Amino acid sequence: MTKTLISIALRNVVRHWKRSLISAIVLTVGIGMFIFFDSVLAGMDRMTIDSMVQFNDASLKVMTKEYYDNKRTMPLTHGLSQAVELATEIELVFPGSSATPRTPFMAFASNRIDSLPALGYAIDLVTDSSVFTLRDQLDSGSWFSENPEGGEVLIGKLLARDLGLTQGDWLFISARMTDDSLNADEYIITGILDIPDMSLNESGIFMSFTEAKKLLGEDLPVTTIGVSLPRPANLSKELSDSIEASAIIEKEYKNIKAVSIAEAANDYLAMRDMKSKYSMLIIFIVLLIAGVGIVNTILMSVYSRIKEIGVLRAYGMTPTHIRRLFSIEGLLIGLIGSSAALVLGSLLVWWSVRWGIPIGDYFGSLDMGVIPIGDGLRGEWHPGIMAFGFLFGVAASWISARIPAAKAGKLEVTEALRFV
Amino acid sequence: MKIAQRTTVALATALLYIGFGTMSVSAQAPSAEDILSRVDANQVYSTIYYEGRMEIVSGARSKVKTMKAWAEGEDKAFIEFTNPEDRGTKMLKLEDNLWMYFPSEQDTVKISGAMLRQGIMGSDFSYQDAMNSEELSTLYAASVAGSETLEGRDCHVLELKSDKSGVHYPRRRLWVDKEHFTILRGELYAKSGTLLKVLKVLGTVSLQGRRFPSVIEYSDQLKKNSRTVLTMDSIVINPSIDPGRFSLQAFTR
Repeated sequence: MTKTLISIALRNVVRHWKRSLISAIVLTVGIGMFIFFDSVLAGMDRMTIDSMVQFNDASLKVMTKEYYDNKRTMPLTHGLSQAVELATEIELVFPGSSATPRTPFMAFASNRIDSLPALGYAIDLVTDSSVFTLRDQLDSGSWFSENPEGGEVLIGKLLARDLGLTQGDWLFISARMTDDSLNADEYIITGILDIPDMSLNESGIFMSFTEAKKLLGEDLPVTTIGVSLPRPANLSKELSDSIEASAIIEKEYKNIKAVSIAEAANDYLAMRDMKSKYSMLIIFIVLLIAGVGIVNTILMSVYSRIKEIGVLRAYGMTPTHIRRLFSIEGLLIGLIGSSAALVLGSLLVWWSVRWGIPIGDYFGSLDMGVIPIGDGLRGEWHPGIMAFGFLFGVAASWISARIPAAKAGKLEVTEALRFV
Repeated sequence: MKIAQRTTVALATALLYIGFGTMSVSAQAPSAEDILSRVDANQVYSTIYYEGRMEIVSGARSKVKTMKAWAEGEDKAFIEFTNPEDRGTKMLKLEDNLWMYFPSEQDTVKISGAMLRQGIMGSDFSYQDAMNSEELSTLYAASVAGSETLEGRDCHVLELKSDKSGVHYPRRRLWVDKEHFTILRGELYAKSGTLLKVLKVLGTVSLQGRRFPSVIEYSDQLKKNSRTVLTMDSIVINPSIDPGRFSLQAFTR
């Protein structure tokens, strides 16, 4: 009997193809966009975390507890003792990891016309590239010379733009020294960095530890060690790995605070959770609209085929058979719509993964905080969500069809045959 | 010669010597330390209250902030902004700590470390400049670099240097009025010798036997066409101030 019901349902879907197509299209667009937006949001999350890991926060950052308590002001006190040995030991504890020292400091950058607040970073020219990928972000100019004649710095592209400076120009930097007195000097801009992290792009200044010691004092301490861990396939694993490694370091070393990327990105991740709740709400509304469409389609199908229902009942079909028939129709529309949604969503995801969405062209100059938008937004494959979208579409269609199906099942034979 | 006579001559000679000696010292220029001490004597107070007007000029733009300020010694200060845009914004300094209260957010922010270098309300006065109220003579070793005429006034030119920790400007050059011992111009240098700021005293008032600087201009030398003029009115030196004024509770009163 089920085979017969499927056959009749299929024939009805084809016979009323316009109505079926409209319902399927609503589902296709709703679920397809759900798959696409989820991919974009997941990609945005990964890009943001990647950006933090690659340019500033690493997989985890090691510092003293006192420094951690005051890190907002980037003090030049509370440094790590025996930082080089500590970095080496961390590399040995976590196979495949790399570690490099960095001392951030607050500064003012000036072109003698304007003076802007800046974030300075003293970096180790040998090991920094093993953790951070600054070197790949050179927009113009070059990396630090091996034997520089004067003080060299690399600066963010937006900072250079705001000060009207280019590679080869001189930049004036002033900052508080380790003894609290002020110092200032001129540096040649050896390269301009186009960093996806907007905060670094608009205020980042990078110099070697040798130059930083001349500016800030010979007793300049190493205040942080950035540690990069092997990059796992997905974001959840990346976050859990960094939390685990931080716990191991804190357990191993007394008076040390290891800030995992999960902790560093805490605000962003909280915002993401909030954002995902809103996106789920939007998806729910889209699917609700699709559901109403299906209810309407099947209901119209019921009313336009009441006489047919009467004939089917006269042939011996029970109300259960009638209910099943219309439920199968809804299910078929759901299968068609959800399959098409899977194809549409996959195509959009493939496009965003392969080529990236060029939102930087439209929002390049907009400060989006930690969200890197300069280099196009790339989606991420999310098979679990794609499967969920497909099953949800089919289930929603089937449940939506149950309402008119129940109405059809309640019709009496005589009543249906007399219906005009 | 009798012993009594000898004694009288010796005494006379000694007095004469001391007299000439004194005459000789008073004819010399005062030492750098003396000049700096007299500058400090003009500027240093136990308590002060004033109503101020800060004009911040940056290029073609200009804005004005008004305020009321209370201070006790070098460790305690309280400023309340009164201009319409910033009305209710308050600043408290207690020793080396600085807090700001923003009424619209009802939020108190502690300003510390390198953040103290930022200009107050976008002015050329950094928080550090505002906080720095120690006697110059205790911070710097001074030497006289010469004499110059500035704005028609005869000035001592002093070179101040400090290797002490916590002194923000390791080197200063001051032009001190020879008559009133007030600073007419100051150049504030970084450790490298780079000129960071120039201050000018544009006006003074006579208060309780001292010449107190009442109109001060600061200009950040790392910016072009940038200057801030602070004019202090209704100055009261050594008034009695409620101790509760210098507390975080005073922010919400």
